[in-house]
Amino acid sequence: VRRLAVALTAVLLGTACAGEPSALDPAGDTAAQLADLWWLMLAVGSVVWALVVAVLVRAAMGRRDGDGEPGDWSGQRLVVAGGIVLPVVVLVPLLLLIFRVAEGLSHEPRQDDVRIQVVGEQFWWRVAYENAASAVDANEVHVPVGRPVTLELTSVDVIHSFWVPNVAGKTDLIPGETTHLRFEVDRPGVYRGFCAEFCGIQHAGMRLVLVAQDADEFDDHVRRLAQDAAEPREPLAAEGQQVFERVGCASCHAVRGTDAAGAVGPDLTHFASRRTIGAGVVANTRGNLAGWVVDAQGVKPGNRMPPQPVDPEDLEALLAYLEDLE
Amino acid sequence: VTTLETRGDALRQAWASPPGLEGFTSAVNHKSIGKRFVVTAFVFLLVGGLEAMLIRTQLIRPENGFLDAETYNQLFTMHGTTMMFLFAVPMVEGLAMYLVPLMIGTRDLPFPRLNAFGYWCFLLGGVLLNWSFLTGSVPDGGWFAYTPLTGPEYSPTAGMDYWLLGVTFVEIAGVVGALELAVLILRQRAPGMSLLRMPLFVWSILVTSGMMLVAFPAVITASILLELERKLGLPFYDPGAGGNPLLWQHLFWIFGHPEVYIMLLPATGIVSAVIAVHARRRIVAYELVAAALVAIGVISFGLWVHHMFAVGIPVLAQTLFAVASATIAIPSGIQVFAWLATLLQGRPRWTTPMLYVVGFVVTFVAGGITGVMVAAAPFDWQAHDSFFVVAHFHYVLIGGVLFPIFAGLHHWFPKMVGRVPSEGAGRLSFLLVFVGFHVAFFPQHILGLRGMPRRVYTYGEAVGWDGYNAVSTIGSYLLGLGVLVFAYNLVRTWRRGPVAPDDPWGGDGLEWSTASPPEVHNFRRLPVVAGRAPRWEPAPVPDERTASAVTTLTVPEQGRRQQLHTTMVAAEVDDVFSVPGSTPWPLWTAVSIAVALVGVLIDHAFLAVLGAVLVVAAGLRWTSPPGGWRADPSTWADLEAPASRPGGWHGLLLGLVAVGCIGGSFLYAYFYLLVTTGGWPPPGVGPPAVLLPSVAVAGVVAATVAVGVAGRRVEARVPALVLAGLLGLAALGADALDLANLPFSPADHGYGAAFVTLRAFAMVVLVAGILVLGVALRASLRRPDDPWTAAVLQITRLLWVFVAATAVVVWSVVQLTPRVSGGEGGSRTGSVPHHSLATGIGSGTGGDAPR
Repeated sequence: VRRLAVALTAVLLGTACAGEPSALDPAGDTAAQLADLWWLMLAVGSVVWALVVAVLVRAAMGRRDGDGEPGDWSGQRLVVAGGIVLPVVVLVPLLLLIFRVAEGLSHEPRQDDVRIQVVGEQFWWRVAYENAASAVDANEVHVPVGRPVTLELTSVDVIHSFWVPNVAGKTDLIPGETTHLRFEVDRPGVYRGFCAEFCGIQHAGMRLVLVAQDADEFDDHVRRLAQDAAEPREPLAAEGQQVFERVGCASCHAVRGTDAAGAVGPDLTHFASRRTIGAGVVANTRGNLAGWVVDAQGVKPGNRMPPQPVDPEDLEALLAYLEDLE
Repeated sequence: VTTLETRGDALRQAWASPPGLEGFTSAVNHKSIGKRFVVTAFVFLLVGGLEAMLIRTQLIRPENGFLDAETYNQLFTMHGTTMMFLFAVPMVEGLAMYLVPLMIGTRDLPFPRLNAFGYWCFLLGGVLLNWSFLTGSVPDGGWFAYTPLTGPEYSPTAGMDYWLLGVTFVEIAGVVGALELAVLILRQRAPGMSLLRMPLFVWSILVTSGMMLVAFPAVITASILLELERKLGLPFYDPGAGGNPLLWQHLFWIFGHPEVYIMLLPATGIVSAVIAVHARRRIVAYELVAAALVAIGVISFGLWVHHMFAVGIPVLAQTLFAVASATIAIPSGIQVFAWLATLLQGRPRWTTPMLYVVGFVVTFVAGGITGVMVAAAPFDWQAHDSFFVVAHFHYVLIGGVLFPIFAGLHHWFPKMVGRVPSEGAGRLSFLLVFVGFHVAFFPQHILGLRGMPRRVYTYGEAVGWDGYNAVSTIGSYLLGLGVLVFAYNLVRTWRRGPVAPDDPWGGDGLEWSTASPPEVHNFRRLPVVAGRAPRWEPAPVPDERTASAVTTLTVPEQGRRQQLHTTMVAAEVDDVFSVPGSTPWPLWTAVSIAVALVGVLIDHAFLAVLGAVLVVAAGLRWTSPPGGWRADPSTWADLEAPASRPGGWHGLLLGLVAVGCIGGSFLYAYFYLLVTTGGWPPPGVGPPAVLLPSVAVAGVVAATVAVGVAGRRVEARVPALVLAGLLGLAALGADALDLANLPFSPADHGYGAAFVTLRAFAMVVLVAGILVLGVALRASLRRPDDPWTAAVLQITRLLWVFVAATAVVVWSVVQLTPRVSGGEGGSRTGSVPHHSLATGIGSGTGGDAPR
C-alpha cells in the first residue's frame, strides 16, 4: 500500500524519470528556487482550496431552516473572514517572498558571467560562445556547472522563447531586442529544452539540448568549436566533401576551413559532435542523418531544408564526411 | 377583464414583430435577438468543442499522425478564437439582452435597432471567420496572434486577414451590445429599483458593459494596425522599420486580460442568481458582492503585463504587476464566500443548475489559486506558455464560465421557452461534464511542470508525457459527451418538454412574474419595486406619479412602443419615450460592412469602397425619424415631452467613450513607438508642416462653435448648421491636401505609419460629424418644431465636442512631439543589436539571409 501511495504521489505530482524534462527536478540553484516556490504555493493553495470545499460540504450536509435576514451578521462575518482576511493573510507574505525570489533571480547580466549568445530562427537555435568569436554551434548549448551563465537572446524572424525546465524559467527571443536569461547549473547532465512561444508551423519541432559539464570539459568544447574543420581523414569522407559542395549543401551551410560558407542553416563545422538533428527532433545517428538529408520535410515538415535528391553512393560519401566533422 | 384583455391586445400589436421571413430579418425585440445570440453562440460552442476534440485526439500519443502540423495550428487557433469571441462573450451578452429587461421590469432595450445590428455583425463575423475553412486559408497564428508571426512576411496567406476582419466585426457587436445594456440598466429600471436594489446579475452586466466599452477598442485598434501593415505595408510591428512587435502584445493584453473578466463577471452574476433561487435565500453581503464586481472590473485593467513576464520586462515592474494580479483574489474571495454563506444559511435544492454551480465553485477556486501562482512572476517564468497555463485558464474558463452558463441556461430555460428541461438528463450531463473536465485538465498542470509547451502538435516518446496526454484526451471525450447530453436535453425539451409554469423555481426576481415565455411586451403593467427580491416581498404601493405613469403605459399611445425612463441612481419616474419598431435596415447595414470587409479581404478595392458607401447609405436610412421622413407628422410630432437628455444622448456618450478609447489606443501606439525607437522623427525626416493642419483644426473648432449656436438658438439653426458643414468640409479638405503632400511615405517607418493613422482617425471622426450634420440639417429644414429634431441637435452637439477634442489632441501630439522629443536620429532599430550578434555568428549574413 505504501509503495502504491508513493507511486500515486509520483504520478500526481509528476515526478520525472532521469532524462525527462521537469521543472520540479532542478539541476541547479535557479530552478531549485522556482521549484521551492511552487511547492510552497501548492501547499498553501491546497489548504485554501480544501477550506472552501469543506465549507461547501458543510452547506450540503447541514439543512437549515428559515430565511435569515438580509443583513445577517454571521453570514457577513464569514464573507469578511474568507473574502478579505484570508486572502490578505495568505497573499502578503507570499508576495514578499515572490519579490525576494524575483530579485535574487534577476536576469540582469553581471560582469563575470559566462556569456552565450542564442539567436532564434524558424525553427532552430543559432548558438555562439562569447569567449571564442568563432565558437559557433546550433541547437545545443553547453554550460559549465557551478558558474553563473547569461544567455543573450534575440531573434531574426518571429518571437521564440528559450526554455529548459530543469535549469531555469523561460525568456522570449524578440526580433530587434536583446533579452537575457541568467542561471546557474550545479548538476552535470544533458537537459532537454523547447521553444515555448508559438513560432509557426514547426514550433513543436524547435527543441534543443543543454549540456552542463565541468568547467574543463566546457572550455575544451568551446575551444574545439572555435577550430576550423579538420581535413577529411578517409578517402570516402574526402569524396563526401566534394558531394557536399556539388549538390548545394554549401549554399546554406558553412563548414569553416572549407569553401562552404552558407549562412541560412546551421554551421556544420563540428556537426558530428552534436547530439541531435533538426533542432532536437531526432538523435544524431547515421540512419536519422540519411533520412534527414534525403527528406528533411518528411522528418520535420515545414522546416527550411529542401529535399536533397542524392544518389546512394554519393549519400554514403556525404554521410561519411558529415560524421567526420567532429 | 375585457378591458385588460383589450389592453393586452393593443400592447401585443404594438410590440409584435411581423411574421415570416420579413419578421426574421427585421425583428428587433430583445427576446428575439437575445435568443438568436444564445442559439448561435451555442452552435459555435459545439464547433469550438469539435475543434478541441480533434486537438486532443492528435495529442493522445507521441508522434501521432492524425493531424499534420498545419492543420493542428489552424485548429487550436480557431478553437481559442471561437470559444472566446464567438461563444463566451456573445452567449453572456445574449443572456443579458434577453434577461435584463425582464429583471429590471421594462419592455425592451433602449436602441432595439442597434441591438439587431449587433446580432447581424456577430453572425456575419462568425461566418466570415469560419468561411476560411472553405478557402483553405485558415488563421493559424494562435488566438492572441502575436506579431511578427502574424505579419505580412511570416503569414502571407489570407488566413490572418480572415481572423483580423472577422474578429473586429464580432467586436463591433460586443461594443454596441455593451453600450445598449449600459444605457438600459442606467435609464430603464422599474420605478423604485435603485442601484442598490438591482439583481446582482444586472450589476455584473453593468460592470461588464463598461469594461467592454473600454477594453474592446484596444484590440480593434491593434487589429486595424496589423491589417494596415499586412495590406498597405505600414510597419507598426516591424522592428526593421521603426516598429515594435511588443506593441501588439501590449494592446492585445490591455484588451485580453479584461476580456477574461468580461466573460467571468456575468458568469458570477448567473451564479448569484441561481444560488439565491435554489438555496431559497437572498445572497449574503449583497453590498460587498456588488462592490467586488466593480472592483474586479477596475483592477482587471491593471494586469495586462502579467501575460508578458517572459519578454524581459524589469523585475520591479513584474513584481508590481504580480501584486496587482494577486489583489484580484480579494474581490473574488468576497464573492465565493458570499455564495458559501448563502448556501450555509439557505435551504439548498440540488437541482441541475445548483449542481453546475457547486461544480463551478470547486473548479473556479482551484483555477483562481493557480491564477495566483502564475501571477507570481518567478514561477510564471516556468509556467508561462506551458500546459500548466493551458490547465489554469481552462479551469477558469470552463469551470468559471461554462459551468455557470450551463447553470443559467437550465435555470432560465423554462422562462425563455416555456418548457421545463429534464432533471435526469441535466444531472447526467453535469456528471459527465464535471468528471470529464477534471480528467481532461488536471493532468495538464503536471504536463506543464514537466516541460510540455503549449501549441505543440507532436512530442517525442522520451519526454514522459504520453500517459498524462492519453488520460487528458479520454477526459476531453467525456466532457464533449456531457455537452452533447446537455444540448440534447434542451433541444428535446424545446420540442416536447412539459409546459412550464410562470415561476417553476419560486424565484425572487421580476423575470419570474412574466408569462413563460414572456409576452412580446413583457409586462402588461410595468412593475414597481421596493426591495431586492420583489417576488419575495409584499408589493409596494406606488406613489401617485409612478402609478399614473405605469397606468398610462398599459395602453400604447397611437400604437407606439413606449417605455419608461427612470433616474439613474434612485430609479424615480423620469419620462416616457418610444423606441422604433421592426426594420431590416440593421441587417442591411451589417451586410454592407460585410461587403466592405470582403473587399479588403480579397484585395478588391471597388468592393471595399462600395461597401463603405452602402454602410453610409444604410446608416442614413436608419437614422430617419420614426415613421420615416414622409410619414404623417401627427404620428410623431406630438412625441412625449423630451427628457433633459434623450436616451440617444447617453447612447452616443458611451459610444464616444468606445471611439475615444480607439483614438487613445492610436495615441498609445504612437507614443509607444516614439519611446521605444528613441525619439522622432527618424533621420532625414523634418518636423511636419504647420500651416494646413492648423487651418484644419481651426476650421473644426469654428464648426463646433457654430453647431453650439445651432443647438441654442432655434432661429439661427439652419444657417449655423450650413456654416458648420462648410467649415467642416473645408477642414477636411485642408487635412486631405496636407496628407497628399507628405514628404515621406507612411510605409517607410513606424513614425510615418503612426503619424498618418492618427491623422486619418481624426479625419474619420470629422467625416462622421459632417454626416450627422447632414441629418440635423435635414431634420431642421423639414421638421423644425419637433422634439425629435431638438433631440437630434443635442446629439449633434455632443458629437461635435468630440470631433473638436479629437482634432485638437491629434494636432497637438503630431505637431509637438517631433519638436520636443528631438529626434536624435535615434531609431534604436537602426543599430539593431541582433545584427551585431548575428554577425558574430557564422559568416556574418545570418541575420540578413534572404528567406
